[in-house]
Amino acid sequence: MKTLNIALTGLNNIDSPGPGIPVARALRSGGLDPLRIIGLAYDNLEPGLYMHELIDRSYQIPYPSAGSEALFNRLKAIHEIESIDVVIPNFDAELHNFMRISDRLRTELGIQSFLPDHHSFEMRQKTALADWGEKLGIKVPATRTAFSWSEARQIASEWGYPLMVKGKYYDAYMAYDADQAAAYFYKLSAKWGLPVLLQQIVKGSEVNVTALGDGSGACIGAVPMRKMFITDKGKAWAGITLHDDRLLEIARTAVAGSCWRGGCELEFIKTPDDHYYLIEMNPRFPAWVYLAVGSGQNHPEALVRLALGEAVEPMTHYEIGKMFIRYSYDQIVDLKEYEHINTHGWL
Amino acid sequence: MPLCQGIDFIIINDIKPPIQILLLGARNENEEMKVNKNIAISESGFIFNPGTGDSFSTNSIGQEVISMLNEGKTRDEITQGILVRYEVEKGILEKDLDDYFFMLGTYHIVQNG
Amino acid sequence: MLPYERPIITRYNPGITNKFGSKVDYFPFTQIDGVPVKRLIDAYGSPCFVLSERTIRDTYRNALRAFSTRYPKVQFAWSYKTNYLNAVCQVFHQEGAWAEVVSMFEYQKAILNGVPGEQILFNGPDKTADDLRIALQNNSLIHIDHFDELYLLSEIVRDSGKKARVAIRINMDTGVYPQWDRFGFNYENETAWEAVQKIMGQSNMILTGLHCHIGTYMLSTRAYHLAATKLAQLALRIKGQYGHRIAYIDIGGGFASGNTLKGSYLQGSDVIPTMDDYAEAISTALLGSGIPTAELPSLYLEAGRALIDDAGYLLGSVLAIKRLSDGRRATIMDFGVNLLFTSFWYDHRITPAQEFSRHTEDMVVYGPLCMNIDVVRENISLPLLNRGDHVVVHRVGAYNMTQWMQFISMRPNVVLIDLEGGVHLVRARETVDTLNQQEQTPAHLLSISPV
Ligand SMILES: Cc1ncc(COP(=O)(O)O)c(C=O)c1O
Repeated sequence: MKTLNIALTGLNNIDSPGPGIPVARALRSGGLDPLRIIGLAYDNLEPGLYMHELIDRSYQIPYPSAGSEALFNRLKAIHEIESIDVVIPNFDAELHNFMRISDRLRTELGIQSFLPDHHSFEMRQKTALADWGEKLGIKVPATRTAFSWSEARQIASEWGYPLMVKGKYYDAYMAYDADQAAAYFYKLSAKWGLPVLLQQIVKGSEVNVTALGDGSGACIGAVPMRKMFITDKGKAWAGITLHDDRLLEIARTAVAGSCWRGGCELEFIKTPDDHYYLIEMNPRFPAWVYLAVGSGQNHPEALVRLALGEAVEPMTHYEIGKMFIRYSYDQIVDLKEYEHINTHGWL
Repeated sequence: MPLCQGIDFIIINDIKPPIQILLLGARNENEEMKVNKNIAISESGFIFNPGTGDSFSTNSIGQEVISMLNEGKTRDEITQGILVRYEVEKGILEKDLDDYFFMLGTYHIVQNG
Repeated sequence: MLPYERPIITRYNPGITNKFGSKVDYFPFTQIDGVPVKRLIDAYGSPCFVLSERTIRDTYRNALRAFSTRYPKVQFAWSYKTNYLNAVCQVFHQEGAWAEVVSMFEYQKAILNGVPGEQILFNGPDKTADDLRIALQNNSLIHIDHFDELYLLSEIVRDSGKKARVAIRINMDTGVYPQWDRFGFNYENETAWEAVQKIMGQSNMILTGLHCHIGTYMLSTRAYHLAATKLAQLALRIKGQYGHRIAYIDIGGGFASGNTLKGSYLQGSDVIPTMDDYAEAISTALLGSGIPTAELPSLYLEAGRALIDDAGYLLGSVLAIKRLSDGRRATIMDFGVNLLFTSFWYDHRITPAQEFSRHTEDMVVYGPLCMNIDVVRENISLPLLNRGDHVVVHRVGAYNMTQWMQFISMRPNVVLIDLEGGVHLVRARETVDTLNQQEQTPAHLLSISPV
């Protein structure tokens, strides 16, 4: 049988981990054999570069800020060596460029991907989420955009503190007073540009869903999880799969309402009186996607099959009460490996 | 090679005892420059400073300069060595070398005096 | 002899997913439309602006196609302020564009270029009584910006006995920040309607068009959809109230070019809507507005930067390489913000024009002026450059050849490469005489010896 060559990004398996390594692990534990996994890395310290039992070979790729043309050219050069069948991007920030070149990757190079279209991608952007949620009947915490600190201060004085101050693309901070809010406002606007978002705080427990949409509205898989322990970076350290039909139903509504194509993570707050507020819809698998595999749904494998044009039956069963407990691990790496990726751009 | 197996590292100061280099250039008259202990440079221009843990990359002409320093060449000899082989004016080369030595010092790859 | 490259050493600075700074270009940019950059610099000096006639025509035709395949009546008017070099204007006029001007100086340029008076849209808040008389005489389309102008024009037409063809500039909330509400009459607070009523009450003013220009480098096609919808609603209201048909809706310009805005995370060319996206948003708004098909107004467009930016290049040379006190590398070019006004808001792409190795350096790129704000790029990763090396700055066709400053040094040559690869000087470099010509020195100051 022909080896399946799958390239993926997100090898930064650090304390705020990217999903690349969990996705690679999911692919390895599926039925895709023989399989070769090619890592695509932005930074030479991404731990996945050195995990040779999971990643067969890795290549540096240009940062998203270099543009989609630079990315295409680099993937083309890698493809000439590796003949990639499917590429799975796993970072939010790179998705725009991957979506932009996905047609060219397919037609010019024969590389498949399974990504949302521009329209569904935009619908769930932070600045648009509230409107979109309203249309679908999904609650979203009150969110306003501010183009200046004076505008932000005005909104904050209407709402009172604490509140969330969020960057246009990433990063969110809880501000307890105006001084903090101002500091975050300037920090976020400098980093991600305007507008900055202000969001009302909703109190409750964090429940998340990892899901896979087929692009026509069907949800191929969805597994809900409650975070059991959260690091100071807001990442789940441990989580447990839930039996929560309402949550799954809301997740399916979101996947259907966006005709989502590919993996995604839906982050909710469940209030003590059982309301679900959608905080964010991330356009890729979460770093805890392996919990779905461990409880019976291999979403990354299904994504690859969908990308290759195979028909995949929706998965509805999963084991309730399965847990993940994340651990960190110090790899021992030879300097020669670090040198090699630094000087040759691959390892 | 003891430090890293299977790779062409030259442990510069293992090859020869540390060499005191007398710089004869106009600006650095009487100034001595020596490559720090155990600085490792590979064929690909990868430099590792085991004293600080930093790593660097240098281009091929930079590699040549470091190995000439290491051979105990004076600044004048280095300048001459490059001038005879590369297409460059002396004034420009001297300015570029000043900058390069300055950076080598900043990064604790060489020591002055 | 081997080719020389400066010795460099760079430290690996690991920062996981460091989001900014990366090499964009892997190849030198050695020619423009087949003409070697080196030959251009040898012949016309450095710095030097270069315009590609091919790119202008291709860009224009693409824009025209995008709109006219979606909407029945489309007319572009070349926005003179964007680039009013006659050669550039004539390319657009040959392609069928009218002229959009905002001052008598631009108006005169259009007339001298042979544009018929009735194909000139006269915009802007600064039209004198004399300007208005000339526009009236030539039957140009006068886009009224404020009530003072409306009253002034009303007096002038009364005296002249001629009828003025007018439009009003309208500002509105299109969900875009900042709202350009300083130009024209506001839609939401009914000031625009007030202006309509005043004009409709004047027998010698014909309300021919409705105009807006909602901003520049607009990334949102939705804003255009809203703007077109609102103008169409106003046209319908005028029809309902007065039975008067508006002949055209002028959506202005503002379409983004492929430049990257400062602080933008992604490359401009990756995030801007295409001409087809803009055209789709605008034409669906007009077609779906409820205006009967037979009565659809013409669609006028005043796109500036999106039509010319890509066609302009600035060639320049490295004056010096230095190191700043904090260790950063600085490169000084022979062009600065005097020629590249747009570097205040764009991160312009800069490509070396000669072969380079794979090594790069992060640097600040400065211009040659003796002022601290003369920064072309605050942070850019470029291959190793040496004094005298040539570089090409991309997408500089819009606003630079009109907003350039004669400060410290003179404006350089501008050349146009025609469709056959022929190079034409279209604006000669200024000299000390260019300036001195304008000056008059009092007799007692003609000599440097004390009087
Ligand atoms: C009235 C009017 N029309 C058209 C333009 C051209 O704008 P752009 O270059 O953004 O397309 C401008 C620019 O300021 C303008 O003021």
